[in-house]
Amino acid sequence: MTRSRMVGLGVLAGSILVAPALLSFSTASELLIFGLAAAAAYPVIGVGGLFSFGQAALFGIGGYTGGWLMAHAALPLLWPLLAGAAAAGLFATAMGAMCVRRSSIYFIMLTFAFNQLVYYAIYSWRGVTGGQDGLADIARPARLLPYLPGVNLDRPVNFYVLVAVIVFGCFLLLLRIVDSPLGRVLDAAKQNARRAAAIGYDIHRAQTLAFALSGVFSGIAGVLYAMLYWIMPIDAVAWVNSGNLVFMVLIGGLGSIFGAPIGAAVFILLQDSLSLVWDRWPLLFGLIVIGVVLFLQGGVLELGGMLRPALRRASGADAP
Amino acid sequence: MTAPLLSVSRLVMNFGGHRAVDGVSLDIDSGKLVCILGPNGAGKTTLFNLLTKDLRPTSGSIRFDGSDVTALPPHAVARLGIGRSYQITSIFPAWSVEDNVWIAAYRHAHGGRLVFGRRAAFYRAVAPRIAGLLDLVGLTKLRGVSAGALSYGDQRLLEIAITLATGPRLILLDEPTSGLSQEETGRVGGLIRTLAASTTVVMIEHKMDVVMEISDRLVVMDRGRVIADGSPAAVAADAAVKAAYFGT
Repeated sequence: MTRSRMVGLGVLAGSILVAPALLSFSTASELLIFGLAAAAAYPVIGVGGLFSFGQAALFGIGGYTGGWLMAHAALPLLWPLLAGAAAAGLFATAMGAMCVRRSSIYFIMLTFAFNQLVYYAIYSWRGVTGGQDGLADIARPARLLPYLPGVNLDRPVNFYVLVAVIVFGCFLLLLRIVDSPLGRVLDAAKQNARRAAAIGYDIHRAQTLAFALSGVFSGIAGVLYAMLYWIMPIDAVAWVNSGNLVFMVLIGGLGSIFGAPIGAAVFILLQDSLSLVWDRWPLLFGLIVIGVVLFLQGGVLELGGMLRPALRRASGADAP
Repeated sequence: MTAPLLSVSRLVMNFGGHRAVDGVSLDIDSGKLVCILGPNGAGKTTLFNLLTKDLRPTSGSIRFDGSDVTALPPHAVARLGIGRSYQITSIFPAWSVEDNVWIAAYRHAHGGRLVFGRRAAFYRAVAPRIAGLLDLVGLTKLRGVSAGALSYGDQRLLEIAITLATGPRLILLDEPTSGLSQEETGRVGGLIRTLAASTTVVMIEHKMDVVMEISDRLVVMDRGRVIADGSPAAVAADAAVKAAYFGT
């Protein structure tokens, strides 16, 4: 693993440890959950250059599947987690296989249509999903794994530790995917699809696989989100949430998967603080997004890179 | 007589009402260096696009190494061993020279498997082959440079290295020396001669000095058809006859 990767992981681990000192456990948990959802979108959006506006559907399918199991059966966490990951992964595979056959705006519209399809299916299937009221009465499991002693996940600190361990573990796996031959093929197809095919890569297959993997990790994030407030709100599946996930990746920076959790944190903290100040906060948020896209295409990570020489100069000047 | 490596039969490609390739039949034998000549719009690049399946032919068939490849997608044809360089340089500009070749060498060594459980850096066994290819095209010193920052001539050489890294048995080169300086043309010409010693090369080329010097066979196309086919000397004579016949 390269040095910059080690530094990035160190900073991420440090942030996870420090976050509860600055924020409530529930806000810190939410940051991590959306950080995972954004990182799960990264192989598709950042590496593959495929602007999927169907990520909320994957997040939602995971959340509703896992949430329904937790609301109706007292199973160890492992099973709802696996069920949510599998359901979202399967749907993502089908969605990806169809969407990657079209490019640019048509691709975006297809992912958008899939998102709406899932939204209205959940909206209409009230008996199971709770419709527009959301899926309520979700219980945090009493045990993590079968045959192991129980853990009280209703204690905020315990839940935060669980989220932190799962999110960090998933992030390591996503980092591996980004650095894998599959990641290289996705990047190659983004840069020059025709050349990548002429070398002998099945581009559509690679992109579908990226969707499938993105679905699995988005699904896991969704299950964690369903446990966070003991309810799965239908807003989490709305296309606006898909847009938010794309924004998070953009704000953090398309150049590295480490931007995704940073973007998620910036997005949620801005949202929380701006919404207290002004009802029309999305307006301010829009201005920030425009600013990032126009002047800071590398996102927050690029900002860090730009500041580093200045900081070094400043510290050098201070030295005797 | 062994069967030809590539056998094209009555290939037709229509774009709307325009017939870009009009019933081309061509056999290419293993180990030969064949040049395709012809004016702009003769259908040469379209023929290449049909061979690599970037385009699907309107009718006709393509056989490669004894099997029918007419209905295969581009990546499948590439895996069978048809490699290609494009008229307009086609590389991965955001990557280093070395990584450009890696992606092709990995495909060749591992059959295009989309592994996601290991880091790409794990596959170091292809490194000597990449080093050998960069040495062959003379880009060893530039291996760490971003491909997008290379000079035009070096990008063309890189593209040839990418094509070679896929281990092709048939190499299609679309105007490999276009836009190159005299010195660079000499380098690429020498490189193509080296390749032709060990594999089969079909190239589209306009520079007559290059063509006459290195090819085993010339195929002349005009308006989608093959109008002359034979040894360089025979075709040159044939062309002279035509010029005389039409008084141009």
